[in-house]
Amino acid sequence: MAKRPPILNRVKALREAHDGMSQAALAKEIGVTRQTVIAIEQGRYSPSLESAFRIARVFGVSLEDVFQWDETAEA
Amino acid sequence: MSFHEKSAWIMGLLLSLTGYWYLSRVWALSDALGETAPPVMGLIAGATIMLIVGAVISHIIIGVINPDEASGDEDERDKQVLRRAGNIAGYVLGFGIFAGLWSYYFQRDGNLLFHIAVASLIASQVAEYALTILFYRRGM
Repeated sequence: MAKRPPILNRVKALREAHDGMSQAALAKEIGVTRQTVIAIEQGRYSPSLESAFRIARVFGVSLEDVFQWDETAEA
Repeated sequence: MSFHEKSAWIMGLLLSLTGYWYLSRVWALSDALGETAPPVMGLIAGATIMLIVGAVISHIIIGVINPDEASGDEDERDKQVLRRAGNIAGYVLGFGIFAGLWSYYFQRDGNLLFHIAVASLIASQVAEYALTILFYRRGM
């Protein structure tokens, strides 16, 4: 089983709070495929720093409002 | 499912089938001859044509079903998945070629070396498709 990256994210919650923005619309905004947005939301993929910043900018929040280090995963 | 994952499923299946067809024919021919069969151009050409025709038709179909994804570029995740799968598949190819060279060193059978090299190419490519699917599904 592949190890999940120890990073939590609020992409889905922020997207839904952003007038229910679709995954496809977010994907287009940050320049990735819809499948990649799905993988990010499910925690199967950690985006590059550039894409992480792009996501934060789309929602008008800071990087740490979107992505957080999973303290429990370090144990 | 992304276009690249669909493509990996199709190509993995096609290559497994054509590879099995080719290698089983070589095996049967070698059995009939009582020694390792020499490379048969007709078999190689047949397997290559089957693979190319199957790949073109299947990719046209998945492209028509979802034209947006088919015409889109690879994104950062696609590149990472494809690069990692390709890297590991390279080890499979290297191991197969290494085994073929040692086989030649001990047996001096050039025909066997040829077939081991072809089988290694097929195995490494099938491994690349399988790993691509695995990395897309489970993450990296």
